[in-house]
Amino acid sequence: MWLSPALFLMLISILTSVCLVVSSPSLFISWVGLELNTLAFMPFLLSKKSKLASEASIKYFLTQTLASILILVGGLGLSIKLGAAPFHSWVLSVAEASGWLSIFTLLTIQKVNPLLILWMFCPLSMEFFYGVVLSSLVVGGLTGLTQTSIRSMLTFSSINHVGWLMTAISFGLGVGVYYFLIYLATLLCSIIIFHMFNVSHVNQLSLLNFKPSNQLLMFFALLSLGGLPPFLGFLPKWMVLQLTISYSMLLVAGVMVSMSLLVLFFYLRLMFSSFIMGGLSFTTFIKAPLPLPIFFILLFAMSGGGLALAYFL
Amino acid sequence: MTVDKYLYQKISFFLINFMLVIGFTGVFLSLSGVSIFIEWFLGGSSMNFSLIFLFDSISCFFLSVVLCISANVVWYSKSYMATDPNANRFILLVVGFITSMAILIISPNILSILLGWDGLGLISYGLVIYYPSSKSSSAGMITVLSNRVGDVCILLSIGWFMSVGDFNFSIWALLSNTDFSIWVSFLVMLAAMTKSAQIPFSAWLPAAMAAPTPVSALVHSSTLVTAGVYLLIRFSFILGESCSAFLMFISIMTMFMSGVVAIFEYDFKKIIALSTLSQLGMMMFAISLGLFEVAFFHLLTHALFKALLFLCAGILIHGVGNTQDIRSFGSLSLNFPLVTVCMNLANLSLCGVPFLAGFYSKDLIVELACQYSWGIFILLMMFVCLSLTVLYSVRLTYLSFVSAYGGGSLVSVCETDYSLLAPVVILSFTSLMSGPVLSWLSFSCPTLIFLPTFLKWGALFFVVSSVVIMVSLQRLVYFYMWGTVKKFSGLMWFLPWLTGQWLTLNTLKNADQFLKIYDQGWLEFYSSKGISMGANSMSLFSLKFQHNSLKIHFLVFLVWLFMCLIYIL
Repeated sequence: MWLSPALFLMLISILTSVCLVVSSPSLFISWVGLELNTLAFMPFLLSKKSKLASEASIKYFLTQTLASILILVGGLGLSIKLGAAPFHSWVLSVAEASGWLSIFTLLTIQKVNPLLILWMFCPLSMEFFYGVVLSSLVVGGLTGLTQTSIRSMLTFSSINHVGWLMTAISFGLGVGVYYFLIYLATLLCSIIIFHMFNVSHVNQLSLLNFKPSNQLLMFFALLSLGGLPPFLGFLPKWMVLQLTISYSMLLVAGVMVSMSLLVLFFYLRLMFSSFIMGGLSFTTFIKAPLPLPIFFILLFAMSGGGLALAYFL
Repeated sequence: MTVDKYLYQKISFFLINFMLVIGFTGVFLSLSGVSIFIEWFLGGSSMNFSLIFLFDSISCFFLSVVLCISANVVWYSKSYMATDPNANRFILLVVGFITSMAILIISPNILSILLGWDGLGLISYGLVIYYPSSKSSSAGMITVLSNRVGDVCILLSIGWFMSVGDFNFSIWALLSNTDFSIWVSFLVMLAAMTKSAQIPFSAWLPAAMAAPTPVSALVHSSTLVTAGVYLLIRFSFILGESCSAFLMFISIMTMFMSGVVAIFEYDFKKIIALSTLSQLGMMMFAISLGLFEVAFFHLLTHALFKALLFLCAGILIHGVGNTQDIRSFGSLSLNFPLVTVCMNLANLSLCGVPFLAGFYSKDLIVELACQYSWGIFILLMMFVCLSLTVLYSVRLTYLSFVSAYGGGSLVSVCETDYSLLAPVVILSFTSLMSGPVLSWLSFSCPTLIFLPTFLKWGALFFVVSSVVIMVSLQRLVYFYMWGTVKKFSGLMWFLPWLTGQWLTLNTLKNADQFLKIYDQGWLEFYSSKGISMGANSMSLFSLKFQHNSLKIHFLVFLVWLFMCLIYIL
């Protein structure tokens, strides 16, 4: 799908928009980059060619445009663009309707631009910023508890991660970029797995006949996303947490930790059904080993690369 | 069948050699007044851990007595357990027991005492449940749980020692201003009381007679039960005034209770167990008076003749066909002349007949106790317990050796097995000689006793009069018809029931209520279930803003925008 020339052009446009935002000295050119981002992402949403997809793409377009207007007026639009609570309601609708690649892009690359503008121009006042962060964390953690579709779970975990990301970026660019990159890597691992086995719902995981070793790798990818030591996903969270505590933002730290627990809980619950019910018939396992690059990415999710990355950052 | 034909003899020989070495070391140490510390030291800068063994005259004498008794018991059990299919397990448990006792005796710090103490409790459990019957199983359970209470007390006092600084109590004995509180004294005393079966915890000792007779001779007469007394002797610096008063009362009541119960008891080994209990009360009594060396002396002599008594009992029980009821004994002196002589020696020594072993130790305690001014109740009870001892010993001798034979007719009643008889003869020699020998070794000069005449003659008077009373009472039939008194005594003053069934029944009822109402009820509601229900309800609340409609999304944005504008303006 992503090999078609048109979509490739769109990908280049998105990357161009990122470069625009990063390298612009003024807010207006960054705003132009944001608009370019919005427009270039639309075809990704429409790549699935269903009525649901067109509905999702209209919602996305309208939301993002409103957000861009609101950026010009005040800083509110950035939170809308990020999908931070209490402005998070559009993310779920869009995410439910897209394919796995689209959702990946939605949840990661679309966040780069708003985060960079947030860092560069800091338009949000302190109380507002804390309010958005806290409510993102809480909403992401709590609402995800009663979800049954895997896309919704990933959405709410990304809302939670947006809270962490905004905190990280407020401490400096290095921390924010580090968190973002590791979030990208771990999310990529999880989404690749879901894409490969075409699961969209919690029920479907138990129907797969995996070898237990493959199940374990899937489990590790999700745990890494949830931020459990010794996996890769723990490192940026540790960094942000330590910075938060050393700056005495203890309420934020407490809420961050407890809501991460809830996010981790619904990942664990996701894998329980696969462990207990899946792999029941031992003769019809999916015997093929995971393809090599995926395997490599999964191993990267475990911890080694993160340490190297931290060294260089 | 054992793995090696001469296994028991080899073990016994090794133990005798070890005993001779330790015995001569003990004599040398007591005469020269030297104590030997052997220390293995681990660690260097930040961690200091040392394993210390203390060899002073007390520990060497005790260890040599224990080894002497165990050598004889192992030799005895070669033929006693010859027909038993599990003899390998037996000898392993006995060797483990001797090792634990040795560790307990030679350790000067409370951690290694705990090692020996716990080992004793555990291995004695294994020995009590040796025979596979329900009686042995319940007896073992009472034994191990009572001993566990003592273990807990020692563990708590280890915590206290950690706060004081050093686990070695031999150091603290030399200082006078240590920081020990009253709780450590009580804990140590409580631990000693559980091991030595004083009044609240005395249910296990008669019940533990379900073990084989060599085990009773080794464990329940001389080593396991004296571990508590030994602990108190080692911790002599810690017992203060109030602890001594409490201990005195408890020990007097134990002596009295066990004496009374033994008069009405019909199980041979239980009578001997109760006489052990009574003598333990005597030792605790001496400790509560502050007479630690005299208590130790009585411990040693009592160990020797009580082991002798149990071994003779084993021969008699084997002889009348493995029954332990004394109503089926009687007139056995005709067929067991040597055993009769030795058992009489042991019994008379127990009663405190002049110039046998028990006289030196027990009479010394009695006379020294008369010199203190603790009150008429204590003195009277002590003399009453003396006479009770004589009463049940004479009853035992009469019913086994003198009265008419009450058993079956097809039994082989003879004593030809030398490996059963030789330990008995050896132990009777030691119980003859240990009295004077140990008193010359332990006390450098004779004690000065200064008493009025009637108190001096008191002990002898009570002994002789009790002999006369019991011999004459045996001729009277209606002595055995005191129904209520018999029931009260037979159930050991209801103590086993009180500390066993009644306690567990009420505790389990309460525990059941706690489980159903609190643990699976309200506590679940308030902690785990409550939190998960709260989280779910909050999640459902936030899903209310989550409709799949663009209008609602934008309305939410505009509402928040409005609120922020109001806040800013």
